Amino acid sequence: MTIDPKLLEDACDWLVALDGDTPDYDAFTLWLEASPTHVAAYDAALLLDERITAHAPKLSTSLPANDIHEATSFSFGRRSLAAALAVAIFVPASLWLTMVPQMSQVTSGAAPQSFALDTRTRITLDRNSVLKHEKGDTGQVELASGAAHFDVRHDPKARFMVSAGDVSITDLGTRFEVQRNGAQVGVAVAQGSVSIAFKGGQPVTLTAGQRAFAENGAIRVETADATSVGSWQRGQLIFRNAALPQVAREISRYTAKPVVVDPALQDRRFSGVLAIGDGRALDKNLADFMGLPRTDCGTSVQLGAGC
Amino acid sequence: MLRQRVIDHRTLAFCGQPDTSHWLMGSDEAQTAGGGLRAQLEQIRPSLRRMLTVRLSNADDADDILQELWIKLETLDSGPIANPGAYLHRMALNLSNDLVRERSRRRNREADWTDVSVSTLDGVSVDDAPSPERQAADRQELAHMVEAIRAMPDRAQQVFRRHRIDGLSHADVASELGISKSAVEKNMATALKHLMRHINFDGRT
Repeated sequence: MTIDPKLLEDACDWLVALDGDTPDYDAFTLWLEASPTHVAAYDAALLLDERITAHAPKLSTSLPANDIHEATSFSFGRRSLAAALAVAIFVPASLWLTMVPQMSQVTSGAAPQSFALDTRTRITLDRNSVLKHEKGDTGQVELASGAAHFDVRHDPKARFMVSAGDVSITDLGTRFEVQRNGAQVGVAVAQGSVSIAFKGGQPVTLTAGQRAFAENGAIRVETADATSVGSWQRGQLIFRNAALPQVAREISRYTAKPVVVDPALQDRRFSGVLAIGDGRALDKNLADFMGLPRTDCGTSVQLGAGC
Repeated sequence: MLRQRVIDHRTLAFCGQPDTSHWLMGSDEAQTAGGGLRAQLEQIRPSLRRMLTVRLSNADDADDILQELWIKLETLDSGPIANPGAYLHRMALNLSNDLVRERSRRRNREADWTDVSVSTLDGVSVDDAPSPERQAADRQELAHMVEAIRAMPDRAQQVFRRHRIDGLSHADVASELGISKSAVEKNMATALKHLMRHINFDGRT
């Protein structure tokens, strides 16, 4: 059944109005009663709404922040402490009016943003990243997406913990970074040490000069240059003998489409420094550097021929 | 059948539709917010029923939803509610939307001929084992949605992303962008209409 586009527009208006402060349910009922096609239009708007919800997690990684041309309220520069924190209160929609602990959320815009979480913890969020914590509790944060660099003064009485999906990283007084690259959580330590564990799994200790990749319940450790830790703070990505699929995973945080690697090229290695710029040319730069073709495969870009 | 004059929590599970003409609020119920909401539900029951009946095209379904709502109110633990009428309409509408969604999902699953179990992830139902056709369709739909969002006018795109993807409330988007709440709503409507025009859903009812 094709529904009149004007009705679909009206249904969208209703969807938004019902989501507002003082919806007029009587008017809504009258509108529905005008014709069965109005009910069908409402169902169609709900379906759209549901598809948006279903795709929302992937949408947040597929839409780079640079797209929005209007000035956003976040910019890198000097700010007062309170303003730098720029918290937005996030209350899960399903809980209506029940009592819930208030969550604070910090979201960065098109550039890395640095702020002090409290007197001992300094955090730099990479562009287009989201960090959450319970209001009043700064001993534990969640890296919801993107990457962050942490600078934590050691305090034996108070641990600091970062959670990223199923992985938790417990600080023992350090400088370290956490990246979320799709299903993988990457952790690298520039100074001090951290403990990493999957929920219910064995903890692994990571010390300065080490990098770990946590994925599918397994944690793999490699050596890392201290300079490469959180290098995105300086607008660079530094790799030394890194597997090409790993490089692709990490640049995907910035590119317009996720970057994947031709299975035939899984074992290629890359060493070098990539300038991030606005993020969009990273896959091209990498491909040029390595002398590889690049193929647009619709929802992703592949290094190597074919899709 | 003997109808009790004073209804308490325990017997409610066993009597069918409460007989509103003889209904009295039990004194212990009066204390709880749930009890207050139930009284409110009885007062606005005709309005709720009318909305649900037209929304579901079926009076029996409407009555089922009201019953479900009644039962939910028993265990609801909420603080004081500013606008109980709106709150109850919202709950009723949500329940009716859940019903429609579940029926549609069941119909589509049968059409797929795949045996899947539905699990929920953060409140969004996901099929455990979507068919390859379904997966490909989902990927296609995601790609179209990304394109459509990027083609949205700047302000509408910004509001849409902050509200629907990043999860901020209307009020928080308004304060973050320095615009009024009604401007947020107008932009959300623009965004949804834009998506509605640009995406073809795969024709499932």
